[in-house]
Amino acid sequence: MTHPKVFVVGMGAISSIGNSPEEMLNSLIREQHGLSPVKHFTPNFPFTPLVGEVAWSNTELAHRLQLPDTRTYSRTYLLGLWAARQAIQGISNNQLAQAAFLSSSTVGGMDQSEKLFFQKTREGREVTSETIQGHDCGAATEEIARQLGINGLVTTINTACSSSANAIMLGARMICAGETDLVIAGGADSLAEFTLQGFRTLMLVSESYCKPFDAARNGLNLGEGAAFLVLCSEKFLSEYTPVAELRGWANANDANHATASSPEGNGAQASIRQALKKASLQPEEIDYINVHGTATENNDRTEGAAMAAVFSTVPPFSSTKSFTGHTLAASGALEAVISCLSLQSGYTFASLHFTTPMEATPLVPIQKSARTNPVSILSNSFGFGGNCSSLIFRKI
Amino acid sequence: MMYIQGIGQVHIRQEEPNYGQFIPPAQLRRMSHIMKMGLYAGMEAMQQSGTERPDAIITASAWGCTEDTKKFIDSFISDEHGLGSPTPFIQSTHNSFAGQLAIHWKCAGYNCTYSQRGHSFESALFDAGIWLRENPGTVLCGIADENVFFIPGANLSAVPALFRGACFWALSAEKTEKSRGKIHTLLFRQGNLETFLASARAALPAGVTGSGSPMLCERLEIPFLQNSSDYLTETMPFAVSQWILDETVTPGQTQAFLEVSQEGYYSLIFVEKLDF
Repeated sequence: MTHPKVFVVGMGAISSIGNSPEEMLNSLIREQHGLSPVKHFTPNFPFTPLVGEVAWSNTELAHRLQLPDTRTYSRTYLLGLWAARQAIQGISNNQLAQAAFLSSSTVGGMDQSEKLFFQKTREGREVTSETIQGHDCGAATEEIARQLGINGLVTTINTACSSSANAIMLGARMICAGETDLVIAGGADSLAEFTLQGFRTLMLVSESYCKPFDAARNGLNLGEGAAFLVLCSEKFLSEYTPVAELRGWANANDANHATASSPEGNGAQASIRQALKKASLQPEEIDYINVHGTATENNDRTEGAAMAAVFSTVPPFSSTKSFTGHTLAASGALEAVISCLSLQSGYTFASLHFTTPMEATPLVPIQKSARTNPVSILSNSFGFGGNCSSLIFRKI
Repeated sequence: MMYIQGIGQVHIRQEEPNYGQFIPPAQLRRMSHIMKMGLYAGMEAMQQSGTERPDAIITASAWGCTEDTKKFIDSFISDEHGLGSPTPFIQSTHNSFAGQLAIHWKCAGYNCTYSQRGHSFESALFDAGIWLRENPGTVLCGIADENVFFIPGANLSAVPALFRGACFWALSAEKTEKSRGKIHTLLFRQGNLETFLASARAALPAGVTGSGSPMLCERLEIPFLQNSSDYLTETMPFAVSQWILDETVTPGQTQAFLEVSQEGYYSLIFVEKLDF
């Protein structure tokens, strides 16, 4: 059964490999990753973690966004506003007012809240409750929507690391259900000591560059960023130039464990299969997979098992988290933007630092960024809580 | 159109329920308050619905799992460089009770979690409405929130009081003998009151009564229901749930629940009580 068509007509993104989709494409083609020792804060860590950090400080971001310096802003808000403003370039104000704004975040304003907390606990300073207003996940979304002049439905998803893939999926479902003709969907997450420490206690933070799908992979590098897509129905296609078609989407739950995926990757298999069905595509029609590929032992093993189960021949794939780090809630949207960039440019991108295939599922990711002209791209995003989401983008 | 098939509540101002009714004691000991409340209310709603398991789970939490957030942040302050337990970090994510509910029923279907301040529950309910138009089956939809904050001297009461407790509904697109309420309309918007009012006027039939926000009732020119029961002024899912469960409300009655959950957060849910 086919569904009403959903098109991508705008993109905005910021990450450690670029402050726009164009800059990110350049880095991906030239195989220049954005991982480096954390710079904007000093986590209490047994080693200096490599992270995908956006170069600009909060002050620089606020200045470039021309925000008044009378108050502090959470980094999630600043990154999100940057990417959202880029995405809506060329969209008329009237139509924007009617649009839905669907964002996502896992840390919200944690960077500011934990700063206050550390001032109090590590430095013994008095704190005020000033920035606690921006702590929750919905705070940044509400303010970005106000800045963009959106009067439609505004909400935030938090399904951990699959969050923004679910925001994009909700956008597509709203368009198909006739709820709206225009959606801005994506997500934003800043780095925070909270999440760095969280993944450290899980022993999932690599001390070196992450090696997705490698036998010797030893964990992830965290990252930060924001990305938004503008999605529209066929109704607006005469007004805007489509970048790609959002052809399929699915969300399934692994229902196995709070953090670890089932050995067979049941949730991942289900989300990939259901997305293919939604897209009316056969597995062999997928030309490139932008995998979740966090480079943790569990993720890559189970995602590999799921891909091997669904595809008789696994298509060329790569984890662009080897460039950006794992940007948590932003990763689904960031990788959706990367998938659209792949369709636009014809390039598929390398998975960095790979040398030896995994024993259980010996899959070899793409070694070189090169022009292969993909037509259909699958993007996977999985998260704590068993959340598995898959999106399929197709060339116009 | 959605039918409320079951209601599960943990009301912060009432006595705590017997969590052990649904949750094994060994698990219960390790659970934060929000996790207990979420699981209990979710399981209670499903039990009432008479359906074995949900086909989709959609949850909401404005603040997320703040007790575990505090526990985790305290642990890495006191336990410098040590490998403290990752459990509070894992349980600090907003979707942790949605994940646990999925594991409980081995529910491999759609699973999503919303966090939009005073519109968190509304967002989940909106998604449930779309899901029920796309798929047959039962959606478990609910919210849980607790109120713990990790900065000494600061707490969540510094921000608009939102929701505390848990409230879950089992929802279906089909009316059955278990159907307790019928949701005719759901609408929520932030910021622009006039846009909200225009949509609300278009959505409401003539002759309805309203509750919750006297201001919104006045602007919509609908009579504000004076009721001896104070639950009508509570946050939306509690107010609707208690209205449905109120024996003095006769089946067939309708009610427009209007709410300003925080500054600029307007919502409308128009519900009909059914005979169950």
